[in-house]
Amino acid sequence: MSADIRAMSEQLAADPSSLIFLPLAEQLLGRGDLAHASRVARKGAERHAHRADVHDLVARIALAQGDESTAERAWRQSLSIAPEFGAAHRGLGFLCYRQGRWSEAEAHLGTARSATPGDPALEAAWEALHVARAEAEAAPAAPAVAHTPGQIFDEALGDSGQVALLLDRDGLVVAGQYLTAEGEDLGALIGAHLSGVGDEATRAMRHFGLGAWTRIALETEAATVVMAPTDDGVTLVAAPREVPLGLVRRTLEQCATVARQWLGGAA
Amino acid sequence: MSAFASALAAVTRHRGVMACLVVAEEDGIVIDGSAQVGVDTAAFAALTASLYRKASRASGSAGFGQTSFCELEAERGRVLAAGRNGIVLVAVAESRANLGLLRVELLKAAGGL
Repeated sequence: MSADIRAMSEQLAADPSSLIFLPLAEQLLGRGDLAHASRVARKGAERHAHRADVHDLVARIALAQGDESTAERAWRQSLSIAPEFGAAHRGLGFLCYRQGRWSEAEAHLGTARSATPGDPALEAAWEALHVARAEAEAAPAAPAVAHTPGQIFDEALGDSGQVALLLDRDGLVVAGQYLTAEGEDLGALIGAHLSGVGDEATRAMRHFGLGAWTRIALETEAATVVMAPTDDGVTLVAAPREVPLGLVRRTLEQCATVARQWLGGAA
Repeated sequence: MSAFASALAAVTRHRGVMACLVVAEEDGIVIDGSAQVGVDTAAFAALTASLYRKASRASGSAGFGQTSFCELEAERGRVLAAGRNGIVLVAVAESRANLGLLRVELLKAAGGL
């Protein structure tokens, strides 16, 4: 541990409300000590939840850890505090670009460029975005056939025996399907019953003081079911019990990303 | 020492656990438990039992059978519940808590309910 980090850690221990956690977490991030950086930043975010820069720091660390959904939530939190906060627009711009969410990427990168004109990384991303977008728009229409609402999750699900549904706020299926061995689609039935769990979670979270819910996992006799809020609905993945829970959670993240992209494209 | 003392101790000894409660599934009444100062145990018990009950009924109706474990992850923490015989063991933990370890411990403890 460097003398700087030790000194800042001691200062933070002596005064937990100090803003010294910001440079401390930055240094830890720079050294690649991501778990430690994340702990310091999250604790700081709890104490200084009103600061946009703190959520930006949490987001950058989460992104370094490969956790894109947490990064996106943290940057959105930043923007809810300071709508013009350039760092958050920059982060979201890069993230949306990586995920192929072209319109959102363009909006965020555009705002970030206005905030910091001449930033070479932003300029490069801006240029790359327009090239990638033009290529995507010029691509043959054939792939779109594979992305009919029932099939948007097929690629993310692979052959793992998992199924995924995108449900709206009323529990109606927006995309995905739940086919039985006989070819019957039970999506509407499953969605109608399980979407209420998300409503119950939202109600509970209002009293828990733990922030908004980000994921629910249920382990039942026949299946593992996980769900995550997506726009104003829910993405749900169900898997046979023999599929490891970690894999099901990972699939959920991928499917939620696919759902957001698809909704963005459909909008 | 209550009948649930060993189950509660097995869960609360883990890092990041803020509360562990034994709750009646049907009405959310706290049967036993321990919590850090400031945790509203009655609210956690009632709302988690309600969520667990809703999840159990929903998964049953959807054809998935009985629910044995439920995890609710939030921005600043997580709530975990494992149930058996009408009793639910609820743990409230910080985000830094080891989920895999807590899950195993809760399922093991719930097996003895």
